[in-house]
This record gives sequence, structure tokens and C-alpha cells, in this order.
Amino acid sequence: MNMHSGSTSVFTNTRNRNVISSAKNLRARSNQSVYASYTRSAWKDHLNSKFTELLALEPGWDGYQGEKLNLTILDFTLSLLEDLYCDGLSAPSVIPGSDGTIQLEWHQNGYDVEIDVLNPYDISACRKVPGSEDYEDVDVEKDISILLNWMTELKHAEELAHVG
Amino acid sequence: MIDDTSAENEISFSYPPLNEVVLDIQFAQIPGLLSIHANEVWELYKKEYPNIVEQPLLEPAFEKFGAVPQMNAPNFSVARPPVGSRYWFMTTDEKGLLQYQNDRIISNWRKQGDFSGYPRYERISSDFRKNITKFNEYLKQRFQGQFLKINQVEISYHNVIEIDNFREVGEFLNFLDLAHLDAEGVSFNAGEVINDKQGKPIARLSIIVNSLYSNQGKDKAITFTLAYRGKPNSEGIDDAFRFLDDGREKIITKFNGMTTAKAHQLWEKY
Repeated sequence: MNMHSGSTSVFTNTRNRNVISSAKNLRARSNQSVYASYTRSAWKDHLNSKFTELLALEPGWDGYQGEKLNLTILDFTLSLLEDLYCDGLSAPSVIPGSDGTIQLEWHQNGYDVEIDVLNPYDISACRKVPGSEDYEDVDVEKDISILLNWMTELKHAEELAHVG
Repeated sequence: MIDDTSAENEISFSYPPLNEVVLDIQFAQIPGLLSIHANEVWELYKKEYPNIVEQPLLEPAFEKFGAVPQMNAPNFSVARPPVGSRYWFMTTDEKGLLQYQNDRIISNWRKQGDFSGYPRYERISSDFRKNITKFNEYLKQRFQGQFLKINQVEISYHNVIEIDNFREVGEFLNFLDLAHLDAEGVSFNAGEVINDKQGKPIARLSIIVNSLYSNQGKDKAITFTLAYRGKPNSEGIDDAFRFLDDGREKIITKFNGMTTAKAHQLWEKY
């Protein structure tokens, strides 16, 4: 299984008692930082450095009651970004909330998307499409299909901007 | 797999290929709960789990639905200071294992020797629930009323099926026919989204098959793992264990449906 698994993955051969084993679950690091392991991703460098910068925020970072980044929310946001990644779409802006939450923003050719990660599976998102003054608001939990559709539309908006 | 009797399914085997059962609860990190408190956590369980081993941390997992795997998608991880560890608290016979890290507790039953000691799911689940409740009470007392906010639950059954040749895989698993291939190894991975009655996704059932060799390479086997994972209806312990119960039912049904009649006979299904 993958490195999320709690299986110990040690098997005993009942015929001759040899141990058949496979090792998994490595996670050893030396510094607090975010790293992306897939080197060809266009988002990698931008998001690596941005999240590492946000991890270093101390309480009161905003001059008021700003809280440190919530690590559980960060873990979920990173997981979400892996799913939202769209080849050809620029990486989002990442803005910390004063309550430890994380906001992701895209602004492409009049198409705006904001995704607020409030907690794992507690996402508040909105978008504004070109030509409209209205915002569409959605709450997302486990099914992120609508956010994926928005990513595809953002990518098209970005492509149109380059063509224009 | 299973010497597990479900009131609904009535599926049992005398000699199932079950090797490990894992119940896994992930929760939001508790403010103030540091690595140094791991010893206090061990004290909660030391009487039953007197042995301890240190392991690297496990990555968090969040099942989401609607996404299609992207080829160039980045895989992010947060590198934290090297003060965090995962601890294995083990029974003296090493069949029982409780894994602890600051955002996860996992219960493992592992086959050691023959199958006669399998305690059944109900007992494993009941013991795990007691241990989770104990930890929750510890949090409330030690960390000013903090309590578990569970955000992911997983149950998995790991089977090992000994074979002489990988051509035989289809004699046990009815979805893999390798009879016409002199395969040197096997790797299969499939996921199925499980929906509720309203059609909303609630969990992912993963099916994983891999080939296995003894250290000398003489003996062969295949691992057949069924894992059910997702977010329970609420952050509380009751819903977490309802999720585990539902997962176990799904896994038993799927295992029965994906293995052959010949295998059932060999494992003495009754």
C-alpha cells in the first residue's frame, strides 16, 4: 500500500516459516518546509516557497491576533491542490487567514476563483465569470467536482488571455 | 478472508488467507500535544501493550471524490522538524499492535503463526473503541477540554495467498486471469467509490494485489488487500465506528464476490 497506510506489511510464510516482508511508510525530514516531489509540475516551485514562508508565520503575524497556520488545514489544502492541479493553469495565490485557515485565489482574464479552506472537508468557494457582476458561492465537502470544473474554465480563460 | 461472521452476510472461513486487519483513525492535530507526551499516551496502554518500537510518521490522508489523476500533478508533503515519530505499542506476542502519532491512532491485528488466534472483528473493534475513548478522555483532562476531531477513518483487510506460480492467481481471484501469461510478478490497483442512498460519495474501496517472494525467492504468494476509507458523518467517535462497521461489511461482501468457489473450498467457507 502507499505511504499513508498503517499496515505493517510483514508476512509469514506458513509453509516454511520464512518471513516475506516489504517495507513502506517513510517520512523523515530535517527542516520544516513544504516540498513537492513531482519535479515537472509547473506549480512546484511557486507553492513550495510560498507554503514554506507561511509555515514560518508566528502568532500576531498580521499585527493583531493572527494565528499560526493550522497544520491540519495545511495538510488538507496540500492534498486538495494535488487534486486541483491542471496542466496549463497558473498556480494560485495563497493567502493565510488570521484564524489559521488558507485561501487560494486565481484571477485569469476576468475569471476569479477564491477557495477558502476552513477545515478538512469544509471548503467555502466562490467564482465570478467574465461579464457578470455576481459571485457564485458554493460549500464543498468531499465531492470536489465543481472545483475541478472551475479549474478547467480558469485554464481556458488563461489561454484566451494569452491568445488575446 | 475471514473468520468473521456478519449477521447480514453470514460469511465465515475456517482457514482464510487473512494476515492483518487494520483499523485506522485520523484526527485534527491537538494544540499543545507534543512528541514528548507520547510517553504519557503509552502509559494509558502499557499494561496490555508493554513493548514499544519507534517508526517514521505516516502521511495524512484525505479521500476526496470527483478528481481524475493528473500526470504532472505535484505531490506535496509538509516537512516537519524531526521530533515527531510514530510509536508501535505491542502486546507481548506481537499479534496486537496499537500505533500512535500526534494525528492518528491505528489498531493492527497481525497473524503470528497459525490462524487459531483471530479474535474476530467485533472484539478488535470493541477493544479499539475502548482505547480511542481512553485517549479522548486523556486529551480532555490533560489539554483543557480538547477532544478528538476525527477527519478520516480506514479499515483494511490484508490477505496473503500462497501459490506455486503466478499463473494460478485466477484460481483464487476471479477478476485476474493470468493463465496464459508466465508472469514474473503481479500488480493490480483499483478503486471504487461507495455512495450513500442519496447517491453522494462517502468512501473509497481500494483493491490492491501484489506479488510477494520469500527472501530466497523460492516461495511465491500474492497479497490481496481491501481497504475502505473516507470521512465519517461527523467528527465524533460514534460515527467513526459506524464507518468502520460499514466498511467491514463492504469488504466482506466484496472479498466473497471477488474470490473463486475453488478458493472458498480451500479456505473452508461455511
